[in-house]
Amino acid sequence: MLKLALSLMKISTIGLGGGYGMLPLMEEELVRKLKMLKEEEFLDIVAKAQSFPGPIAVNTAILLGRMKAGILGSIICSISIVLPPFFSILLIALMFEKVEKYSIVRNFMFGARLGVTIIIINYSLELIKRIIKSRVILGILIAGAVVIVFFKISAFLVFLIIASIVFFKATNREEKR
Amino acid sequence: MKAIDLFFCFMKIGFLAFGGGYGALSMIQNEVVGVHGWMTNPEFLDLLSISQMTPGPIAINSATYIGYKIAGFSGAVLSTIGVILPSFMWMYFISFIIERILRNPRRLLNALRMSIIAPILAAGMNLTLSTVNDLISFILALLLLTLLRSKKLSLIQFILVAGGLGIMVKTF
Repeated sequence: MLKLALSLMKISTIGLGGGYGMLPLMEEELVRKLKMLKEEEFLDIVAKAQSFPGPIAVNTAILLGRMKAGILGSIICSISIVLPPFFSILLIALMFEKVEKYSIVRNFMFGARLGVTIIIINYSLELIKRIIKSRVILGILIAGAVVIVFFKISAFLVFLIIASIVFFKATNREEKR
Repeated sequence: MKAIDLFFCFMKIGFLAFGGGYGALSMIQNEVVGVHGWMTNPEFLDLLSISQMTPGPIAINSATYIGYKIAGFSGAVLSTIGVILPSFMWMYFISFIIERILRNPRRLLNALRMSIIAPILAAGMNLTLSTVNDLISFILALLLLTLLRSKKLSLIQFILVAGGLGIMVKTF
């Protein structure tokens, strides 16, 4: 358990690029190096972590901990994965406040903001390509996004409404067969 | 108390953040910029660039950073706890309830995963509207989109290049 907690800390200290960037590191460390769990077990955990809400790295840590030591394991593992980024981001927030006023930093951020915007746009396009197979659902999603942006309706509400439409549509189709 | 507001706000976000980090981000943008007005869109984007370039899950990094910006250290702690608590609730309670009452829980989870695209797309549109506001930023955005889609760079390298281009465009 202690070994697991320490390796999770190590992974989240070096794991750049968000949760998805950390998964291959976890696999390398926990499955290949420490042989704590089998390849299939790890893939099962990741699949489950992905289908529930929340940061995927945290969900994976909770499930890994549960497998080894129940709820206590989950708590220890999620703290291990959260602590390193918590302190590094605090430090960076402090530093950023100091350098924000320099024009070179501001110009860098001008480009970086555009870059991040493009990343999000591109990510939604990729998701659509990968998991949306029906034109009707695509239409509903675009309409939903427009409603959120231009009519300032809560994203939570729109999300839940769309989810129930998609869910009942899938259920109906299944029953007709 | 702002720190307590942050806690409940991030719990709500964590509870419905399907689709990993980006799903969470879309909800965070909507709540923190849109509903509460705690931050502006450019500030939110600064935070995203920073969390993308630092280690750790982006949703956690954002929660910590926003919490700190708005209510100091206690804000950072409460926001971070707030965003991960719902994961526990899902893994330990709700997943069992769903598996009990639904014949096919996959279908519900799939519907939720599809639907999260709407908020993500909305966040993308919203941020585009606030960053792309003249010819220079429009051209730069198209250039960056082409660069990103060529898949030659990791996301961190991509943001560094984007920032470099920003410095070039603004200086010369």
